[in-house]
Amino acid sequence: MPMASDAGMSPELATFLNFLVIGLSNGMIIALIAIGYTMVYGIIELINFAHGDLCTLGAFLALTLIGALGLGDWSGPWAWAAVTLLLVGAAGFCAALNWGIDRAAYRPLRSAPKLTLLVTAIGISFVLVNLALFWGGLPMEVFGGGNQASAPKNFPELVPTTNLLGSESRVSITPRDLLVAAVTLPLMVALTWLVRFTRLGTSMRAVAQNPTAASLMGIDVDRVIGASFMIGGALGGFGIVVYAIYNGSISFQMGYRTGMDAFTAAVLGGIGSLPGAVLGGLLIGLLRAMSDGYLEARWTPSVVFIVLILVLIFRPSGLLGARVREKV
Amino acid sequence: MSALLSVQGLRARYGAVEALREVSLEVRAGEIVTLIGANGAGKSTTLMCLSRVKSIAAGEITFEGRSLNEVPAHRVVGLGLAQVPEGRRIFPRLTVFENLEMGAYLRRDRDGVAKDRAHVYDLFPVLRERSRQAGGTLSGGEQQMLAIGRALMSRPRLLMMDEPSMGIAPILVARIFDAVKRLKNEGMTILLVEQNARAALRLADRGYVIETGRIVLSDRAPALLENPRVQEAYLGE
Amino acid sequence: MKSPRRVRWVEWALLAAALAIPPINWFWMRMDPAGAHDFVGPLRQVLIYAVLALGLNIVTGFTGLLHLGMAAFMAVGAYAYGILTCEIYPFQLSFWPALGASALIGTVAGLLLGAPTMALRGDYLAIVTLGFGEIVQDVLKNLDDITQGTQGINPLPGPVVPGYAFNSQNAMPWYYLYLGILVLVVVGCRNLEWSRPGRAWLAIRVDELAARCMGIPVVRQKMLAFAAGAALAAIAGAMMASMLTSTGEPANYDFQVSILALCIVIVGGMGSITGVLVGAVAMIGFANVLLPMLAGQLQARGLVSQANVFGNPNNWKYLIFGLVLVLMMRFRPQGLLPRAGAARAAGKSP
Repeated sequence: MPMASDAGMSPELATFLNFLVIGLSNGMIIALIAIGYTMVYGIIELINFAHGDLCTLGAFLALTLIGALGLGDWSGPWAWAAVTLLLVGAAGFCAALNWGIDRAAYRPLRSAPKLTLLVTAIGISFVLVNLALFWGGLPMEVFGGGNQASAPKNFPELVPTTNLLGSESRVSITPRDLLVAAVTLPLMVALTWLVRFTRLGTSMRAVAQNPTAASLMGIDVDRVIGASFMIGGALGGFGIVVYAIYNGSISFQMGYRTGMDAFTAAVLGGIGSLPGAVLGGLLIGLLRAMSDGYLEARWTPSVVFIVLILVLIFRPSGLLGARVREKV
Repeated sequence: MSALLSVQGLRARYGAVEALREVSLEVRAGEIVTLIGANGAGKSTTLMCLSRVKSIAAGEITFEGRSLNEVPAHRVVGLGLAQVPEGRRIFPRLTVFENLEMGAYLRRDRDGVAKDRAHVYDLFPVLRERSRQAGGTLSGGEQQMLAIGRALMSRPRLLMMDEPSMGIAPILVARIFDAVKRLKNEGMTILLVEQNARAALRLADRGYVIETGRIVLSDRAPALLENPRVQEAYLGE
Repeated sequence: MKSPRRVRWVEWALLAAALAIPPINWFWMRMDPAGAHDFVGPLRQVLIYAVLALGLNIVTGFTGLLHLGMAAFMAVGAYAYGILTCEIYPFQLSFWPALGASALIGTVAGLLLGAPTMALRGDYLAIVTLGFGEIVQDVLKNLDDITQGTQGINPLPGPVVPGYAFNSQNAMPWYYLYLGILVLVVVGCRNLEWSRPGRAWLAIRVDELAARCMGIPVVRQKMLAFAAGAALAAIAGAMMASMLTSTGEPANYDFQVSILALCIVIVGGMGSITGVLVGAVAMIGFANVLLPMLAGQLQARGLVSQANVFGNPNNWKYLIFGLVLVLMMRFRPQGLLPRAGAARAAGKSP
């Protein structure tokens, strides 16, 4: 639908709107990954350093599926089927892997001091990054043939970048932006419903507020924690596939950057708070876009952190955070 | 009459420190049994062991003829043994209503739950007034009532209470103990852990005294009240 | 109160080993020029990281403040040294004055950046220190008019000792000089540990509220710990820059460095100076000495192919590090050589 009336829009406004669109799209992706950080922190007070790298493995699984099933060649409506397959595959994989990591590495340490858990998470992140490196070195064409393990890999263009507002429009909204919204918004609704209206959601809230009391109510705390890891992992899996499609490439180190953005978003919004993670994600996305556009991209990471530090100085628990956790 | 709850030779430790050494007690249906002792004597540890939140090193816990030793913590309340933990431990960001709902987490009978909720409101009318308020905004005494109400929502056959009077204004303590008496009259079996020995012994049928992890005295409550050792150590006489 | 005897002998043993390695290595290289490796060069990194980790140990080990941004202060030290000594700038100091000045600048940076964090609790403090790492990195990279950006500042002079001119060819004098600096740092940290600030830090670590009630000026002591840690990190940075004759690019002082320092402190034994030394030897020795040596050996024997990612031992570094961390936290969370009290405390679990 060409915006013939575009002629009336000032270039400055068009530029701003474009940054807005980019910011919101990236923000929603960041939000999906940020939720994983915030859920785990909310329930066991662990900064899960491994989350970004876990999502990276989901991206590598997606690329493997593309290579194995030739999904890169699917087009038209089949492309959307391919995308769905990738999303579900990565989400399921990340959910299962995250659950497994909790079961194997974090569960035995339920009563350990927080620093012990933190270092364990750091160790897991090292392991996962190295696994991603190895994965990228597998002798598959999608990975560059097996001798370019550390190089970034291209993600096929399953979703085009045509401007849905018409090629004349100065403002650009592409099917990729729609994809982001189409994945994120329903997931947010589903998550909200889960947390507020299901037994699992209620038990998650109870465990986050007081695990011992929750136990006394008949809640299986370990199972609830495992479920939190699964859900956080699944959302991260969805997010990273969208990220990969949106940006067109993946690398074994992508977990660091995306993880840092998502983690910052979670803290900004108030770590432990689900709406906070979403708000934080959107804000960080917008902040990055504005900084990239109006300042300089090379200053963007600093800008993000400076904003975070300023927010924490005036609102030490983050924007929506109000952690009043009774000591166990 | 066989005991509802029977504990034999309970031992528990925190790392290298022995918190309980050879705790044995029993609670029969319909009675109030109190466990009194000083701070750090092992009272809370005992209840946490009975609720299976805390692991035990040795001993036997039998409830209604069934051994609880291998039962995981989250299954205990379903078997009819509920605890009002020390320090209340209500869910601060859930409303009073939602806290009570949490107490009934395992129950499927909506009608029974509604009836029990009405019973709790009857016992503690202030909870009905504040039913939409967040638990964390209640006063200490109100939180204690909420914690008791929450435990009652699981329709337990044995209610364990850990220091319900701690940190609460005396007038509210009296009200809480009145509620406990009323519960007993309604047929509830209660194991009451208390630091306030006088009030607990006045309320209870029988009592145990625990010192440094060991039961040192066990008798009918009126006898304990007259016991010179108890009087000197716990009744301030 | 003196430290337990057991810990003392480990330190002497380490010192003896450290002193003996270069001559032994020299003999080995003389006798087997083809197969032998030069340890001494890479071992200097162990010494540098030991200084860095001892700095982190003051903040996290002694005082209990989780600090994830040590790399920032290392960068400050390296770049301070670079700017003060490189001939493209007007200062052109020599090694020792520049080292001292870097330490001072690091201290100031520590005070400046530490100030806003004083009100923050545990995890939030950690996150903010993480932010420092990013911000300092970006600033150094982007203000390239001053800092030469991604090129780094070079060439930089080596240490100055009367009668000998340090050069990049011969690593042994560097090694011994840096070992000497490390020994001084260790002695300094030991003294700090048992000094008034040191005992205040311990009190803060154990129970901040109680420390406050005992009259300890908590904010001042935390700032002091922060500054001391930053000073040591800056010294480590200057040492690194001097050894490499370049600051290297700002990206070298990234989150990995901060995390590595944290792992050394925790694997070695939080708060234990000897533990940190052992941790540095174990982790940096493994990564920078053992692994490359293994890689070299395997390649020389044609056992690995370059093309295969699995073949290069260096590619297994993080996997092994990660597993070691996870296993250690599971089975020996108190670290290799914990502080005396910590060993007993670790036996407890609720």
